[in-house]
Amino acid sequence: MNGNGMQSRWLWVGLGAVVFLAVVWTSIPLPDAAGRLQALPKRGVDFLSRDLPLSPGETKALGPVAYLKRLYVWRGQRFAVLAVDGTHNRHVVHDPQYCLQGAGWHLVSTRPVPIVGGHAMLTRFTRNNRSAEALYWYTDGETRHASPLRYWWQTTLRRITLGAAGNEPVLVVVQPFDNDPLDWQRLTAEFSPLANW
Amino acid sequence: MPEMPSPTCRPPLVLWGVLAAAVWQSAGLWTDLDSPYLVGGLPALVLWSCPVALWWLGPGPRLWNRRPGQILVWLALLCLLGGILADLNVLRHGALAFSLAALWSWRRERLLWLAGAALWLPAGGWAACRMINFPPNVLMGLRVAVAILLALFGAWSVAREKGWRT
Repeated sequence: MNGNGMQSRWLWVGLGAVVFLAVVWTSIPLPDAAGRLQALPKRGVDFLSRDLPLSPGETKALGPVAYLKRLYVWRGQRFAVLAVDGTHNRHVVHDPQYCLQGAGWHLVSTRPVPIVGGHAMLTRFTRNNRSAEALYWYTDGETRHASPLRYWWQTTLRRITLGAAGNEPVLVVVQPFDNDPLDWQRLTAEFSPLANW
Repeated sequence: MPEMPSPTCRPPLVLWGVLAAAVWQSAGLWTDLDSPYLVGGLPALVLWSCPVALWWLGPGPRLWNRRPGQILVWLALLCLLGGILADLNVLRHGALAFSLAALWSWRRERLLWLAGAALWLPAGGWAACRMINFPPNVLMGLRVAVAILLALFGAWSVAREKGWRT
């Protein structure tokens, strides 16, 4: 066999190995964060909640991944919490800033907000004379941050190590319900179910 | 410095196998069109790939540069491996770019064309919007416009290689 044929044979071997790994690796289940999603209390001394249905756009975007969407009422404030566990398809967990811009919103401002174990990002958007606010962060149950790059890094390490690198980070987005004004400082400091989640 | 000639041969069949694997792994590029990272990315990818199709379909010999071609195929396989193990789309898409680049004969000037893959990469779209703050609609126009320029550059490179007269 000449050198070219030999090289070609090694390339076929490499291709076969990659296809084999693709099938094997994706068939190994990764521990998910569904239990952590369910652990968020539905009611407490000073709050109660109910599940909200996903909008058609959210249903299409999220597909079959585990999620939680709830309306909370706490000390007269109403807000929606959306949490997404991307264990089974982390590609549906988009960078919220970019995602909203892709949906036609114009980013007005961003501000880091300290929360227990890290910080969240408060964003303000406008579209057609409407304005909206959203607070988001990623949490693995121990650390909290608002960096999509760090999220990708954490989830990449988890996948390479088949889950040994830590818990799956979950994206949490909090928005005022029906544009009710929200006291973000108070919410992040005193609404314990979210702060310790 | 003049480009050193490298041994050439007919394009090996394994190229198509690697391309098929990269296409399989990059399926989100055409099935997930609602993704905000993809605005204008698919037309840019099609335009960017046109010179490769021209190289295959146009008149003249198809002489594949063995050594750089094989390096590109190995790079594609490495990216595929990394993309699968780490579930990283940017590596899967990199594999698609390298396997398409391996599909025609390699010339030094085509490095510019290969670097242009960043145009259609969803990760490139995210970086442009997030770091330079391009609005998505501006990004779409920019992606397509630069892809047209790269397609024209690639076509010129094919014409030069095959000795076509304009």
